[in-house]
Amino acid sequence: MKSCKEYQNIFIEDFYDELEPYRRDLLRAHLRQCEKCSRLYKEMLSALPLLAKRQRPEPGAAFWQSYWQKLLQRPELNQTQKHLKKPRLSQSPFFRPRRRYLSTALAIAAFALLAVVWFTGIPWQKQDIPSLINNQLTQTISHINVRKEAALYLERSKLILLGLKNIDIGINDSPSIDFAHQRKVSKELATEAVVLKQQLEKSEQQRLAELISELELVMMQIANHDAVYDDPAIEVLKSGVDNRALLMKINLEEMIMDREKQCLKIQRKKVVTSVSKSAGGENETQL
Amino acid sequence: MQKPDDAVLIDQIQQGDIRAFRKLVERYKKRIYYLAYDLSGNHHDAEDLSQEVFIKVYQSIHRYRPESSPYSWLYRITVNTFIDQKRKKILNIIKPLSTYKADSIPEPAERSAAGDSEKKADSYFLQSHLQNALKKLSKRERTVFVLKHYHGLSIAEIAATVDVAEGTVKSLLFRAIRKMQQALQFLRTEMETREAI
Repeated sequence: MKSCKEYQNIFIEDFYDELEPYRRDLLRAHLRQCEKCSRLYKEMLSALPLLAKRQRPEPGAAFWQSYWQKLLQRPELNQTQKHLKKPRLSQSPFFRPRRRYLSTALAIAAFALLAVVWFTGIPWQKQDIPSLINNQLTQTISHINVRKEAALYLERSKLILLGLKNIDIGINDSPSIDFAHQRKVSKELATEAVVLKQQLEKSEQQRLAELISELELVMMQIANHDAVYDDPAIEVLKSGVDNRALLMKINLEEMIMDREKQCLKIQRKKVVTSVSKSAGGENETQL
Repeated sequence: MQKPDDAVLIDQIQQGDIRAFRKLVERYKKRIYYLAYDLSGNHHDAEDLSQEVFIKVYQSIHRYRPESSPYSWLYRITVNTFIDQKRKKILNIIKPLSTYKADSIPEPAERSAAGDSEKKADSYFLQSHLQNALKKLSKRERTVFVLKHYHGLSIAEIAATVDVAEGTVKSLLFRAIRKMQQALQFLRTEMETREAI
């Protein structure tokens, strides 16, 4: 004979029709005899139809449509993509022998290139210096442009955050004032953040991208905020900004940017003088 | 449960084909999101959890063994991610805001119409109590209960997904149903009284 506890252990299988007929008959017989188990069984069984009434909210078509795009924006996925593709190529049995040929071919090509440079000599090298400088300059300019955009973004975000931080719920006596303007700007900033983050990640400015990502989140929260000044949610927003030390991070980033600007000015002067010197040298040799 | 081209799809993902990965996401996103919603209890966490699951799938696609169906593999990853998940700071900030009206946060169908009629208000009342009762369960109890009750997995399948013995699944289910029944006792009594009137 089984104990009550052992019978109670098979209630679950019976509720979900997973009990063999033989054991089910044994359980029924026990329930007829044991009042305690019978009451417990009935109580638990009666809760099941109520639990089945639970419904999930449907997130809507827009959510499903943007699901893949949102997933693509996750930095973890981008890191994995970079990481995944490389080993797969080397692991492929078809790729390995080709790679050997490729390395030999590359070595021959490099040797040939060196030979061409050696025989054609200095004039060819001289022509290449400005093009190298040009390439570097183009890279630096695109880098600066992204940082300029980021600086503007930080400035606008800082204003919103300062505005939020300066709200004193206890003192403010006009509960009808809402967040309309801040919400509008925050919405714009949250939208802009998506593109800016991608640009920053492309130019490998990870720290700044992370800060923009944090700001995007706060901007989204403000954009979705629909309450007046006396709302406790403002306190939540304020503490969020404090906890993440966002204003301090913006200030630090701005300081770094200022320093970079100064360094860049000096570098630009150096580049200009070196280009003018090399141009002057060429003219002298031609003369 | 396995669709004929699931194996092909996984093979393509293993070769680094992102389009195949997209197909897999499109195929399973709803099931994984709903499981994530049942486990976490709110839209934001469910979205985050489900996306984290797909990232883990992509990261560990080389470890997939064809003996198990992709469906149960995805379920296992979802459950493990949910159980392991340390609550992020972000979620702590977002969560209180989810109670406010926002475009990005879907409202339960009943909630938007709540107040229109007594029936709809009752429905909203019931849904929120059911959700709260579910939240009172421990993570393990909730996982097992949700997989059984809302996703129709057998006890053996749950045991394989959660990686515990079938006996443990049964006792977790027993505790979960008992707790839910006790938490919703007042609701059932109220409903019975109303029906009697």
